[in-house]
Amino acid sequence: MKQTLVICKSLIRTGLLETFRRKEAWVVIFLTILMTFGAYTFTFFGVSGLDIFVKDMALTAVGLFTTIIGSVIATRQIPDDISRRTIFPILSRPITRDQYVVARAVAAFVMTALCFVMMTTVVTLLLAALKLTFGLIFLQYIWLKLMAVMWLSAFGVFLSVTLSQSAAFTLCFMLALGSGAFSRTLLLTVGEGNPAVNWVITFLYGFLPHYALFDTTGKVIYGWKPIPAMVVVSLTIYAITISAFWLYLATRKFRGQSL
Amino acid sequence: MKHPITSIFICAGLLFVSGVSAKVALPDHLIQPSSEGANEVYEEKPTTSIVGEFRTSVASYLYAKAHEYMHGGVVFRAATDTEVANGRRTASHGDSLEAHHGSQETTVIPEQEFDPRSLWGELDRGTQPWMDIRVHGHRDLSEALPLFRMMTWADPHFIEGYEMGSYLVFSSAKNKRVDRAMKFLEEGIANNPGSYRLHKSYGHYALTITKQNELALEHLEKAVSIIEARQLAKRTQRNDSMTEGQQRVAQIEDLEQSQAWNEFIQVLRKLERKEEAIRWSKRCIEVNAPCPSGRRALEVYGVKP
Amino acid sequence: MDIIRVENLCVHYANGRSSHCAVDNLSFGVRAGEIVGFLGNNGAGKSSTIKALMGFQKPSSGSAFLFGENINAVASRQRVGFLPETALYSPYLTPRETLRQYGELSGLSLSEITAVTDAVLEKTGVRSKADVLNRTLSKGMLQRVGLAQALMNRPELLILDEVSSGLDPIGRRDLRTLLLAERERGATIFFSSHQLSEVESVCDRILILNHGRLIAERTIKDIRATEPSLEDYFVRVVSDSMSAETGVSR
Repeated sequence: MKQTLVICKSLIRTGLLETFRRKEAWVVIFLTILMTFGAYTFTFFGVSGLDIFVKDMALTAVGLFTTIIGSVIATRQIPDDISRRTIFPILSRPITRDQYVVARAVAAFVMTALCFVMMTTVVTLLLAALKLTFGLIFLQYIWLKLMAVMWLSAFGVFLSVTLSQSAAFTLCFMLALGSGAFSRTLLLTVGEGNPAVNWVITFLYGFLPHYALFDTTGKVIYGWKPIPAMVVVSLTIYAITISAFWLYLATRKFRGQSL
Repeated sequence: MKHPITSIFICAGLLFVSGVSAKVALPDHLIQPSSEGANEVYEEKPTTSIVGEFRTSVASYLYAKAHEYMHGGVVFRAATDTEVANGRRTASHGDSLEAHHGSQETTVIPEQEFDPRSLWGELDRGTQPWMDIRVHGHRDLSEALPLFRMMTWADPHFIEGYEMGSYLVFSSAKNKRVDRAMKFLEEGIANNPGSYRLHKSYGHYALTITKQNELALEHLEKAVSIIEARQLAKRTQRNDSMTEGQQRVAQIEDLEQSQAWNEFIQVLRKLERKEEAIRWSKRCIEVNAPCPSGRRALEVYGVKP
Repeated sequence: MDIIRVENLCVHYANGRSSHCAVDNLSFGVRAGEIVGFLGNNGAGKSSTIKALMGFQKPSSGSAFLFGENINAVASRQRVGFLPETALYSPYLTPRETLRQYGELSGLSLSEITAVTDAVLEKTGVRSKADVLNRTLSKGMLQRVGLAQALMNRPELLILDEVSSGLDPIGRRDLRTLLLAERERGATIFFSSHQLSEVESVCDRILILNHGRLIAERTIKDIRATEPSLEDYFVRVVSDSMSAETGVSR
């Protein structure tokens, strides 16, 4: 365990250096500011009372860019090592493939989470400067978003050891972004009063990606009351379980893979 | 400090140049599909069509957003046939807003008793904006007003934007200002002089709120003459080959037109223009069979329909 | 005791329904303190053997051992330094940061890493470029960074794949000096290369592979005594092997 943590620490440190030197993090932060401020510029043309609209734009930008950067980072970790052949000197060290996969997923999680936290901090400060604030529910938003990032990182890493890098990114991004739409579509088929159909729907629903379930943007921007603690706890348990499941599959797949 | 200021000036300059270029390059970007020569313009200048599509898409997006704003972010969808038939998941309201959902809308996330997902459903209702559609209220409508301003900027031909926006300006708690509602409609009429719905709405406010009968007459007459000219009544008559959606649109148009006729006849009666009231009442009954105002007017004036 | 022991190793690559045999029933050993050159034409199976030795490629059959332990046991890798064929080290890290990363992955403490890094950078000739991004380095310089990372944990065994790839004449001379110095330190070295003059000047023994099979295993001393040069010997052995194969197939 201690060795895995050491590996995680090393890969996180170098991963972060790389992410910031590639300027990806700065680009998404800049775009977030641009979208937030862009929404606010309507006030310069005489449209007042845009509080919700500005908050909506800001948190939509944060959510979208977190999903993009999270999918990119998670799905490129292992394929990048393979294409650069740096996986060989890494795995020539006394570390197992399982430790490597887990460390890469943890590194992807930390990098994306850091980008998310930076974007959120910038947006919060920017909105505060515009005299727009969020309620207590915002803390729950941050926590659940971090849980979603954990899911995304584990899922992205699993896809990256299963598919080509571009296919893994596309699938990861689409499944994350479209998860809400898939769930809603399945719900449309709810057969009223038909327990058999409902049972099938519930069964299938469990297999869908539930990334959107962690997104409380709607409640935050409209100033809803905080979410019940049990919901937050349940989602946290779900995020940990599903991430562990994807990582288990990823390590199983990667264990026997020829490099 | 010098560099940011220079950058701002450069950005402003570029925006101005691109705006002027767009104006020069796309002089017809606001052309209405129904207007004369629109098809020729679309064929010759595909960019016009693309820009037009973009503008209408932005307006439609903002309109949908405004709907969300009114419901605190709750997302709605069209109700399924089963839901409409049994009426168990359709809207009723806890406030004065008219049945803006019709009976055809419901929330995307179902209520607990209609949700087979058990725990998943609870989590969904816990994290997403959700309310029981059967007994729901609305937020302060003034929050949605800026969106109507933006959507009509994006697409000045977006009639629903002017209609609903003016209604919200008038009815929202903070801005019970009929003058501002009418001003907004004036802008809409200036951009869309051929819209009977905007003339009808304007005439409605003038007739029922500000009691400016002459002004109401002017706009309601215009509305009715547009309806007559376009023979909208005939076009929207029931037709078995219509789809359910088309039938709903036709029903709404029938209702709108019927309201225009009724208020037009009412204002004629208020202004004691007997001959005109009789003539238009007969015409109203001819094209729009129920026409309660027309029948009432003929009854009052002792004329047989 | 053999530091490296390979017994009846076979590596097959599946290609659709057919399968290609890269390493065919290969057996050899490398003793402590030796420098062994692993030679062969392109596609002879050198890299596949090295990959199998490092656990990157699952053998179809046979077995291999490092320090007497099966190659699947990661503990033995603590004592190994490995240089892969033409790796592109993280382009947005500097050589110093790259070495720190590999030091950490080898289980070295930060103080150990700090102590070793400068010496290794000096030894491999990367010191002057230690703090510029890897993406700005030439292929030869990246190969030196690769060598540096392989030396970070002061390994008892160095496995180097195409070690002189991308190096200029001065780089190759430095490499020879480095390999001899490592042997002096007590390291065992097993490397593949196409630079026969270099192999001849540093190796104790060579293994020649053709089409996955071991076709020759001799000491350099023996070759020097009986052959005009290693190059002549290599060409003759490989040609004979190819002719024999063609004859068999006819």
